[in-house]
Amino acid sequence: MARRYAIAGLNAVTPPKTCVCVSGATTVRPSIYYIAFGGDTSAVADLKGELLVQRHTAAGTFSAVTPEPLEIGDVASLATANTGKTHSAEPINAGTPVIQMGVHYSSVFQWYAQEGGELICPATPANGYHATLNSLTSGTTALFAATMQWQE
Amino acid sequence: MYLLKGPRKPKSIIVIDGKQTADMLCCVHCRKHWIVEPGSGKNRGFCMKCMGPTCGPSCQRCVPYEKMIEEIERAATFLPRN
Repeated sequence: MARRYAIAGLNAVTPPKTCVCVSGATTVRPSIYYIAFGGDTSAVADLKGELLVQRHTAAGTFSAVTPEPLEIGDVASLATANTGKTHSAEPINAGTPVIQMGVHYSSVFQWYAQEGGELICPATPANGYHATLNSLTSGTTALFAATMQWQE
Repeated sequence: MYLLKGPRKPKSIIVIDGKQTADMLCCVHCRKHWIVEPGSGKNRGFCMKCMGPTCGPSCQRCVPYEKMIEEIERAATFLPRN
């Protein structure tokens, strides 16, 4: 049975800013099956943002985070080197977004992949998928939080 | 004729505030996901080799998703000949 892991993070303030990214490694192809996206714990506001999930060929500059195994007894994730949150330098995108959705700040957006619909990261370092707050209601700044879960 | 409101076999689902809101199809070549909007005018396709929907003209040429992943991995490990 595949081992499952999760990371979560916020975007840096000014969009477009990547919230979280998951990248492969030479020994593993992470398969992303769940993404959640929504406003952070700040006061409720009438804001709209655009979520983009896109493949990248370079992971950019981010805050490192250790993926959390969803089962306590599991070993550490193999996809740790280029997996992180709150990017200060954006990943280098490849192709067009695979998920593009408008999201309201006060609502929680969740994406569940069915069998055959998972986003698979190549077994190549720094290649994977990231969730980005692409745009925001003009004249505002806000933090959106994203969560990604994948299996290895 | 009875028309379905969404795809018969969705590849992903969207849940907003705990309520399942939409089903999505995904391209068999690039794994782009989209909500099916009948009458939207968006130009989608169908690959007869992979037997699945495609996202548009950019994915008209049959390069299965697994093949694309393998090509990315092969390019990363390519060693030039001397």
